[in-house]
Amino acid sequence: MNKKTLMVFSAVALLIAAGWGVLALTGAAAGKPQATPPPRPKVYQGATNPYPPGVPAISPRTNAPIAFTAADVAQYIKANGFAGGPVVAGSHLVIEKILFITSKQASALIQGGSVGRPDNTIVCYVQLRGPFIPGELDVPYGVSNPNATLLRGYEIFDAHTGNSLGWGGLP
Amino acid sequence: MPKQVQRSVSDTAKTDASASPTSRVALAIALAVSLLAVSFLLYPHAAQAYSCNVCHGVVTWNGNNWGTQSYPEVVALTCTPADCKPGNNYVPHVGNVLWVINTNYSNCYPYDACWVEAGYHTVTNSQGTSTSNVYYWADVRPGTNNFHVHTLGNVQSGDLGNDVWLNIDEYGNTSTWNIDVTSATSGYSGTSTNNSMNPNQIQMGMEMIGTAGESADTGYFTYNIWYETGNNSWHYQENAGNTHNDSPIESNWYQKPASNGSNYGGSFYTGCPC
Repeated sequence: MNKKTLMVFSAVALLIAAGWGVLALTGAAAGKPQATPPPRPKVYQGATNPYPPGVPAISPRTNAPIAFTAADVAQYIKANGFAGGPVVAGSHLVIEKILFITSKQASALIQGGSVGRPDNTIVCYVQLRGPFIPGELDVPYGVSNPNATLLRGYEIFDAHTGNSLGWGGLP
Repeated sequence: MPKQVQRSVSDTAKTDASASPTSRVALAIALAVSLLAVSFLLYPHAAQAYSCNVCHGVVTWNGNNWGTQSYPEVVALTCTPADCKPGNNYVPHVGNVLWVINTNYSNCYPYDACWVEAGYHTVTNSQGTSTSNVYYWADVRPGTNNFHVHTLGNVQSGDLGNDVWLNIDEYGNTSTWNIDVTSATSGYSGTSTNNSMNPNQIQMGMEMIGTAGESADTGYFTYNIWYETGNNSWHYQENAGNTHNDSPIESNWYQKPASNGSNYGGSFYTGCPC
């Protein structure tokens, strides 16, 4: 390696180091905001869906309003546990109820909470006993007992698509 | 020829040897600088140790209200499935969220607070084999001793880099709260019924639980609005509220709300290089 090559190599290396040094010092490479916020694109302009699809969970067997069985639900719960979180160490998940009922009836079982389906639509309500660690609730800053456990939980599935519509805790 | 070759090799060696004082120094400098450059290259990607039993990067506004809205940017939230498998003590996840809260309310066991929240967060399956980014809303209502999480749908690739409109409002004193979650590709709505809370706080930002394998691109909450009690008239946020940030989350005002609302409630960023 001659002197000229070495000098060029050194200069390039210095430039790279200086560049990354600046980035590191400004925080740009570590995920901090850039000089200008991104542009503000418009959101979806179509009609909003008051009955969101939920996310895929139980595979439907048919195209019927009730497209899977209680046994399918039990198998799904056994394989996937409670959507809201795992059971407390040393405990075992128990399925207390699997009901194919109307959305309105399911709402009554969760103390008037919204199910996200028209009143007469059939949903699958599953009641579970833990106790559970409710992991998927995004608790705001500053509240008491952010990691409080749940004695019981429930999940609600769309009886036709098998999609999970939600879950929660019960007293 | 063999001699000539030998001489040539020898000459070359001699030449290198004769240049060694200068070239060795130059080579040493070049190697040192190269190592420095490599270290800088690796720096932004190096995993940091962190412990988030519950971490927040949020801004809080105190005061009575009938709701709020914001347009957070939809960014990629990562929760490596193996690291975010639901554990014995908590379920790792990360999310960008808007909350309307009734704090210090003993009728809201066990949190001493009731609230309605909406946003998007990671969900990892119980086997620790897959993670999704999901839109949702949830409520903790007075007197029910429980909470409900409503799963709306998966975040679509076309949503990334665009905004999602999050709106939570009680139109009139009806104990019924409307929730809107409208991204670039879809719009969802929900209703928190039988919810008699009287909010006295608004929060927005990032919530994270976990110790490894999570990250979040930097995203901005903009067009930040609150609804006045009594008549639902809306106002842009006109002060910076109180910020709170737990490492490794990075959050703060990029642009604080102007006192006259001229910058649409400011621009608050969240992210986690983690």
